[in-house]
Amino acid sequence: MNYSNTFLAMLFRDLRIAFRQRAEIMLPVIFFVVVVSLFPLAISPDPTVLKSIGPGVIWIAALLSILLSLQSLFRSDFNDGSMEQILLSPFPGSLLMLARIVAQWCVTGLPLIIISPLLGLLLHLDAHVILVLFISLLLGVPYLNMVGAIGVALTIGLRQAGALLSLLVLPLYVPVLIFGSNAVISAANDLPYNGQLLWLAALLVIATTLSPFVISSALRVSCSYR
Amino acid sequence: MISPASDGISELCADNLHYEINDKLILEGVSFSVKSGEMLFIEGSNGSGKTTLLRILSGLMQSDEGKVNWNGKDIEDERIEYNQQLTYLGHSTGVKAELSTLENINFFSALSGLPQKENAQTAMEWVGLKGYEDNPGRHLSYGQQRRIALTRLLMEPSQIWILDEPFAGLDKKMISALETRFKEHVHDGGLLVLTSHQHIELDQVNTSRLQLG
Amino acid sequence: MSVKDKVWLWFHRMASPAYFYKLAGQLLPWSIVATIILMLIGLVGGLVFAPADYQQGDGFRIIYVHVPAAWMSMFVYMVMAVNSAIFLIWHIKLSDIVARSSAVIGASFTFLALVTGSIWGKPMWGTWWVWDARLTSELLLLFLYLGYIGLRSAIDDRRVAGKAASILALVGAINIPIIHYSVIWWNTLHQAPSVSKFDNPSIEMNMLIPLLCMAIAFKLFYLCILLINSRSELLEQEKRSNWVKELVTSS
Repeated sequence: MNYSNTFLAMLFRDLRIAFRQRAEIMLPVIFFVVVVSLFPLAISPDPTVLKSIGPGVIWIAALLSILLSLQSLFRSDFNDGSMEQILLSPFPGSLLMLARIVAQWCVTGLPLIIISPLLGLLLHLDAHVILVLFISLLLGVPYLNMVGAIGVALTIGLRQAGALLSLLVLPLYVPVLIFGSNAVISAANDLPYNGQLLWLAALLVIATTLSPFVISSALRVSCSYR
Repeated sequence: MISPASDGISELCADNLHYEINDKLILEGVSFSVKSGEMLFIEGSNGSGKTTLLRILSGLMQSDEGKVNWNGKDIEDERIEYNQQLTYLGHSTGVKAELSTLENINFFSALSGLPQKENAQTAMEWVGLKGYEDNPGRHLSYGQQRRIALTRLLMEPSQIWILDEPFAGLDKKMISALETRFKEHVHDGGLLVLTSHQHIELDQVNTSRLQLG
Repeated sequence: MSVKDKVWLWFHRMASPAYFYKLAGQLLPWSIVATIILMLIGLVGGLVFAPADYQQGDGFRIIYVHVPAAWMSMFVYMVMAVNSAIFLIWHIKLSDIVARSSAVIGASFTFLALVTGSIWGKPMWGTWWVWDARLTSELLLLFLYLGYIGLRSAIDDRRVAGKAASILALVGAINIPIIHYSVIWWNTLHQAPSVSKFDNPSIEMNMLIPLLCMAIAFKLFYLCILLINSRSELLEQEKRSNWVKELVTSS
C-alpha cells in the first residue's frame, strides 16, 4: 500500500472538485472582503480609528469566513456515500482527512491569506504591520481549518448543524484570535510580536498532529448512523 | 504483504448481534457464518434491518451486543486487513457529481490500496460505460452512477463482498452480467453477502439464506 | 489475588450497572444529609460569623457562593473529560452517564459563578461586567458546556450522541488550559482594573473555614445530583435487563 500516492489522490480529487465549482470557492474570499469593508461604514472612516481596529477586524472576518466555508466540508462526501468508502479503505482515516483539510485550506484559507494585504491597505495599516498580519494569518488560518473540521465532523448530518458548529468551534478559536490579532497590534505599536507568532506556530503544530486523528474518529462516529 | 483474494480461506461470523433503533430491537440475536466459496442472501421486508446488518458487517456501525468475527478475530481489531479484503456497496454509490467516470473509477482504485485486477477500460466496457469516460457524474443517470460503483467488483482484488441491493436501478442485461460475476467470485474462493428485493437463484453456488424481521 | 487483580475486580463491579445502582441508592441519603449540614455551617459561618472585609464591607460575602461555584465549574469539566475518555476507551456506559449528567450541572455552576461574579463586581468596579481574566475564561467555559449540551441534544441516537459528545469533551479538555492561559495573557496586556480578593493568601481562618465548608458542600451537592441522575439514567438504559425487571416487579 502506497500512502503518499493515496494521500495525493485524495488531495487532487478534492482540489479538482473544488475548482469545478469555481463560484463556490470564491464565496468565502468575497465574504471576507465584504465584511471587512463594512467596518469603516459602521464605525468610522477615520484612518487612526481604522488603524487601531484593523487587526481585530481582519482577524474576525477571516475567522467568520473560514467558519462559513466549513459548512460544506464533508457534506457532499457524506451525502453521496464517498465518506463510507473513505472510512472503509485500508488507509488510516487520519491520513485521508489530512489530505482533505490541506485541500480545503488551499481553496479557502490560502486565497484569504493572499488577499489580506489588500485589506490591510484599505484599513490604513503600515507596510511592516501588513507583513506581520500576513504571517499571523499564514500560521493561524490552517489552525482554524483544522479545529473547525473537528466541529464539522461531529455535526455532520444533523439538522441544525450550522448554528451548532459555530457554538462548538468559536470558543476553540479564541487562543488563535487573541495571539493573531495581538501580534498585529503589537507590530503596529512597535512592540515585540515574535512571542505571539511563536505561540501561533506552536498551536499549529499541536493541531496538525492531533486533529486528523480526532476528525477521523469523529467521522467514524457520525457516519455510524444515517 | 497481504494475500490477494484467491489465496486462503476466509470466514465471516456474526455472533449474537443485537441492534436497537428508537427503543425497537431491529436485530435480535442474529448469528450466522459464511465461508469462502459461499453466498449469504439476506431477505426481509423494508425496515427489517437488512441495511443495518450489512453496515454492522462492514464495520461502519457497531452492534449493541455481539461481535462480527473474521477468521476468528473481531473485525474491530483487524481494521486494516479487513478493509483491504472488503468491497462494500451501499445505497449511496460514492460517485462524485463533479468528477468524470474515469476519475471516479481511479479514485476508487486509489482508496482500495491493492493493485487492481483489471484496468479501468475493461471495467468500463463491462458495465457498458464505454464512451462515457469523460462525462461528469452529474450528467449520468442513477443507473449509470451505480454502474460506476459496480466497476469495483471487477477491479478490486478483495475477497469479501458486502452488497446492499446490488441490482437496484439496473437493466436485465447488467443484472445477468452481475450474476455471472457473483458466480465467478464465489468459485474463486470469494465470499458474498447481499440483500435484494428480487429473489435470486444462482445455480452451483453454495447459498445460505437469512430471513430478517 | 494480587493488588492489581483486586483493583480490576473493583473496577468491574463499579462498572456493573446493577451493583452501582444499589450502591448509589445507599450512598444518596448520606450525601444529602452531609451536603445540608456542611452548607448550613458554611453559610452561617460565612454570612454571620466571618468579619466584614475592611475594604468591601459585607459585599465580599458573595465569595462564599462565587468561589466554590467557580472551582466547581472547572472540576466538573475535568470529571466530564475523564469519564468521556473512559467511555471512549473501555466503553463503560456508566462513564457516559456521569459525563452526560455532569454537563448540565457544570454549566449551572459556571453560570452561577458568572452571575455572582458580576453581582460582586458591581460595588467593586462600579459596573456589572468587566473583561477580567477570570470572568472571561468562565464565560468561554460556559460556551464549551453549552456546545457539549447542544451537540448531545442534537443527536437523536443515544449511542452516537455519547461518543460524539465524548470526543468533544476531550477536545475541550485539551483546549481549556490553552484558552485559559491565552485569556490571562491577553488580560495582563490590557491591564484590566482587576482586584481579585481571593488571590490574597493572608485570608483569615474564620473566613477560610466557611469557604472550605462551602466548597466541600458544593462537591457533595454535585455528587447527590450525579447519583440521582445516574440512577434514573441507568434504569432507562438497562430497561431490558433482568435486574431492572426484578426491581420493577418487586416494588
